[in-house]
Amino acid sequence: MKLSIEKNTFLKALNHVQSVVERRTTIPILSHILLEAKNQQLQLTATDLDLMVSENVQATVKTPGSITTPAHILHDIVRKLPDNTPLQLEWNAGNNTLHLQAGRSKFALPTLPREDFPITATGDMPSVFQVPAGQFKKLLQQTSFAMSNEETRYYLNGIFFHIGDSQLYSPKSLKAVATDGHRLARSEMIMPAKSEKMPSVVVPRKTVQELMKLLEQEDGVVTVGLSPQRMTVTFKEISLSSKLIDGNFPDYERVIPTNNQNFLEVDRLVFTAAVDRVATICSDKLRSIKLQIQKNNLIFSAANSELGSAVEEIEVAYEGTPIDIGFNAKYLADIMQQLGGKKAKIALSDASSPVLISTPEDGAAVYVLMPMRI
Amino acid sequence: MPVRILPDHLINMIAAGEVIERPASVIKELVENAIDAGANQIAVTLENAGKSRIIVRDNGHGMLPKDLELSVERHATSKLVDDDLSVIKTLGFRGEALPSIGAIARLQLISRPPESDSAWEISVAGGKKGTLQPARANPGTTVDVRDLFFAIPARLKFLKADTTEIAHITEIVCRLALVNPHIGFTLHHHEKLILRYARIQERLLPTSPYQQRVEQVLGVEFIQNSRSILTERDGMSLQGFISLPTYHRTNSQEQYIFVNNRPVRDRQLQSAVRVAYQDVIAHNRYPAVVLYLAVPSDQIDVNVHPAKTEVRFRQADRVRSLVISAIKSRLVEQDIRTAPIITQQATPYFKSSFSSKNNGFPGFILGEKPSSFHWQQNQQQDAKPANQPFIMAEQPSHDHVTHSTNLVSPHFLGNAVAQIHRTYIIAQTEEKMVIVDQHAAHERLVYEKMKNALTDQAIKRQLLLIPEIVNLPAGQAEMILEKADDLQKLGLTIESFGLNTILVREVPAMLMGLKVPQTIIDLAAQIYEQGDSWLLQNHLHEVCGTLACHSSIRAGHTMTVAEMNALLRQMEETPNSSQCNHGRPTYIELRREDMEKLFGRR
Ligand SMILES: Nc1ncnc2c1ncn2[C@@H]1O[C@H](COP(=O)(O)OP(=O)(O)OP(=O)(O)O)[C@@H](O)[C@H]1O
Ligand SMILES: [Mg+2]
Repeated sequence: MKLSIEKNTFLKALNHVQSVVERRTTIPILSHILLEAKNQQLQLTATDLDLMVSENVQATVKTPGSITTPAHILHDIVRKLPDNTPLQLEWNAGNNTLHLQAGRSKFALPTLPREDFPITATGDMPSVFQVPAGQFKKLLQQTSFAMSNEETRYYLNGIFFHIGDSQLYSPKSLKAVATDGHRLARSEMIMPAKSEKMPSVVVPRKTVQELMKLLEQEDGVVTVGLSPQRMTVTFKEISLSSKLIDGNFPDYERVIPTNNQNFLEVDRLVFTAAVDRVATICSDKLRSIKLQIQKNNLIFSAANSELGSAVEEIEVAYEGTPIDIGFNAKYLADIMQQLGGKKAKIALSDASSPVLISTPEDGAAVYVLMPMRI
Repeated sequence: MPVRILPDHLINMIAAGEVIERPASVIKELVENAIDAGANQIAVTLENAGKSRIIVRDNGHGMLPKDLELSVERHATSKLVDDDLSVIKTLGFRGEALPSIGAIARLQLISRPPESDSAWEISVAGGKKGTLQPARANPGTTVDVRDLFFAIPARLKFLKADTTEIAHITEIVCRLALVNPHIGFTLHHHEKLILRYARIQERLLPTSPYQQRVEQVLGVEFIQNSRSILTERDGMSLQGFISLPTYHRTNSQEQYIFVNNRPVRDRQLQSAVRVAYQDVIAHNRYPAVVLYLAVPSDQIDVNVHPAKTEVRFRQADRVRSLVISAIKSRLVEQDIRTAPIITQQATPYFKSSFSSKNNGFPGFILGEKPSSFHWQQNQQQDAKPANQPFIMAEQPSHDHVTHSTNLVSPHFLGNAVAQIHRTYIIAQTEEKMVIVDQHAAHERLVYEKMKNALTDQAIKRQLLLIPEIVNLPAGQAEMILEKADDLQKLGLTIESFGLNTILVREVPAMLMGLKVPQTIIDLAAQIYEQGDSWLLQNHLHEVCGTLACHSSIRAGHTMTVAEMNALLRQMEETPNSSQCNHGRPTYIELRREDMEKLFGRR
């Protein structure tokens, strides 16, 4: 294998794929990245056995071939090379070093044979549909913060996607839901064409995070393939294939309150800033803050035996029953940040029932938060 | 009026007056009988704090029908071998308990020796004995006492509120449990489980059965703050656990003393404990101890007190000196452990100086000036008669005494002199140099403060949007649910959710990252095995601990003299401040005499 490639092109692709590779692994081949050169293209592939990402980039291929080399070292080297330098990669069959040369820098990297690299066969996906990258990204962004990372309820460690009835879109919508048992985030978009029969799936945490990164600069259309066990996402030069979480996501609709009659409307930024200020008084572990909601008036307060106490009052629109309610300030802040928009609407029932948070400017996303007893 | 012999029922009532004072006395007598019967499982159930009903069930050797009939008679006992009061090995020996209870309450006994397949029953009510009747029961004996004091209603008036009576009962059961680790105990009030100490099986455990039981009864904190002792001398042996000087109490409640497996409240022994601790603990504070003393049975008289809580020793001095020396020498070792510099170079000086001199180590006496002179006097008086070689091997030097009375620093940890390596504070008092590890000390202070805040305020709870459902091994769900109220106070709200399953609704906000199911499973197992659980509390304290570690001043932080003194004063006010959260010492000290010895001046 012999090729030359421009540094920035190479680095961009490496940035995309290398984070799939686990930093610590006991199986050496899993710390490697697969490089395959043919037809004036270099394909980079990384996997952790559950998630595989590959990307094609332009290269001048003199001799086609394929080999694997440690992902993080390669990434670090390329990162440190001067911009816009051409670099040469060369590996000869029968030899076990990969030579990398750029300007006056030369590196000899260890390799493992291409045959050892585990490629997961994806097969045909029973359900394939297309979504605009922007909308897909939004589903992920608006919900991912609420994913759980606790192992016992592993089925919560991801985002749940399904097709469901909607008050917003007809006939149906594609919904994304995440919860860690304390709060829940749900976002939806109009059901993409041909997705009606898609299975309901839970996309694991790491895949969600990688996807968000890969989609960051993307504004085209992505193709999603789904089977009950596996998901593929392809766009442009990138393709991703991920195992799905094998478990039943709980019947989340039941915990979304439908009957909260007390509506609090706040200026989102004013509210968020007040929460942030008052929570200064909270210790790191216990970020509890109290909200006293009265007619058109909201008082935040927090107290800590060490750090003192804080009170702040803001004007709000509220006509409901006065309620004193406690929350984890971090949870409130997370939701407010994801919510976007100028106004936030909080629907309450009482001090120990879930509240529903949304913004009139974007009906697609709703958040449910459980209060804290303080 | 002519002199006459009292009728039996009156005699019994009068005896009962001495033996049975309150429900707790009944429990004491019945549980002691069960222990004497060789039971390894004893269950006590109360109704209305024992006022309306007490049931004690054991799996001991039981009684044959003829013994059963006799057992409720006055002065009937199976326990006096050869009519010799001087070789008592059992807790009972008078044959007074059952008839006394029968005289004032409605007593029913059902008993079945394990080798027999039938059970028999006998009742006594207000002194009137019923007839022997066949019954059905498991091997062992069940004693059922109803309507305590119905025969002498005047007594009822002296009974206290239920909670007080239950506290007395709990106390009795704890004491008997501490000295019988091989017996499992449960105590129920109506349906509610109050105590459960699983039987300790000796072979299975790395630590001694006593230690396991002490941990069950007094908690892990006591074990962590105590050291074990074990000594033998003159045919007597003493073992047990003594608290570190920094772990002290406002009264002697937590001093559990046993002589030949019998719980006692013996003043001589308590005073021996006081003497042993006197120069490491303030005079108005009490150490916590569990002491098991064994003396040859011909060396003691247990027949001196109606409730048998006092004993008389043939050679009281020897016993006393054994207790004092065992505790003191362990405390000295303890001190060395916390003083590594001295261990290496000056152990011989240190040891001899500590044991031979009373150099006025006053413990934490706050706001008042410790008078070493006074202490010297005390100890001389107390210690002399015991003829204890190690207390006063040398006479105290007189100039030292005058010195201290005039010039002693009002602060136990002295005044800060300097900070070295931006890590250690050097302070001095008239008698010693103190070196404080600033991070360890501050961390401890922050930790103690957080722990207090935890108990002072209600614990904040996060409600769960999706409650957790946890499956538990059979039997454990009910046990953890019985503790639901206590757990709720710690911030964990649980409910029953069908067979062997519980539902978690709320979790302590501080433990947000906690793995709920695992914690519940651990908690349930602990409650199941040990009857109680401090696990959740421990988790909370652990969080405090890590927070404390992160929010305390570090090594490398420069401190002014004022800051250093402030830290020293806070340490003096904080219990447990001589150890950091990780069990390392927060300060060490080097006495003036030790320094002088190190430099060959003495
Ligand atoms: N739980 C029991 N299991 C087997 N035997 C018992 C039990 N309780 C009592 N007994 C028998 O009944 C006798 C009388 O008991 P009681 O408690 O009245 O007297 P004691 O234990 O011998 O002496 P003391 O009055 O000092 O307690 C005992 O000696 C014992 O033989
Ligand atoms: Mg008895």
